[in-house]
Amino acid sequence: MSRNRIAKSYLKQAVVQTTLLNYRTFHRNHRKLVIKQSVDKFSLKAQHLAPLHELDELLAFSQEIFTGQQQYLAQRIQELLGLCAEDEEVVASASSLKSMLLFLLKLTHFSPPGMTVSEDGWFHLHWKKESFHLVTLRFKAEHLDYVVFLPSRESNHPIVLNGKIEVLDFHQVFVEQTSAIRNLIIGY
Amino acid sequence: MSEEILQGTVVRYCKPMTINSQIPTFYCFQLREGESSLSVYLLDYFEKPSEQEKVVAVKQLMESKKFQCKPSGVFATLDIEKSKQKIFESIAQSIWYHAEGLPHCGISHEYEDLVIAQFLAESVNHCYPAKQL
Repeated sequence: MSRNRIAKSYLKQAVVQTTLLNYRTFHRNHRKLVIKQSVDKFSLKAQHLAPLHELDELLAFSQEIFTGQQQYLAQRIQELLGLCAEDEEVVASASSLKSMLLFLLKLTHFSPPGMTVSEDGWFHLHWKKESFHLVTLRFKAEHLDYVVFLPSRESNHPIVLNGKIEVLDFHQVFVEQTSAIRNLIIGY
Repeated sequence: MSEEILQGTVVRYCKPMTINSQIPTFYCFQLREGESSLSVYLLDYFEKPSEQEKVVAVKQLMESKKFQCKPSGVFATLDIEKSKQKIFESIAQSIWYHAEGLPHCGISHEYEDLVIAQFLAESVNHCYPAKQL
């Protein structure tokens, strides 16, 4: 492959990775602009998520972003919305679903979580390694409630952490900075 | 205050959307907003030879009150003493099982609900898929 073709191929990948523009548009109009701005993936997807407020819009968004190995997440959301629709007492919360999608967007890579909806309509995620080694998140409009059980080196009882925190702050404090929790959620 | 139940086995019906891979998780044991106790049924109230038959009796009782148990729902049993002990030993908190017109009972507590729900989920003894009852 000539150097020129290799460069072209690399640029094509770069466009896919950093912008929503297709290759042709990129070359024609925005090449310099796009290279300069280099918007990160999370911000782009979060911008797309921001104006969505209805359950069907959020489901369509999840089907768009969870592809390949993560496709099961969109399928599970669809399944849960179907179960809620069948149950007169449970109304799934769109703000809770939106908040959960924002959290998953921020994670990018993660071990497969368990996902359910409570009888109050709140979406939940959980990662469990064993009985007292788990993370449970309950998503509300702007924040999440969390419960973390971690094995204690000092006793037979779990270390229990729980509280309420903004969705992206949980990522910053517990996923980025607490390795025991990062290991559970991301898997490394 | 209603009579406290100190021993025996209770069962809770878990709705399909609160179950993950056929296993009841803590979602099944959360209080709904405005609720002060978690609804369960005392299995020891029924004079039946096996636990499964007692669970069937609970299902029939719930359905007689016009409650619809979905086939993909699950009935999860809890041992009263063991669940109380597990929670007290782990976080020094008490939960109470009290009669609310037997066999119906309520579980109440004064702690963070998500944490108690998690411990209750970890205390489940047996699960009976509704479709098999």
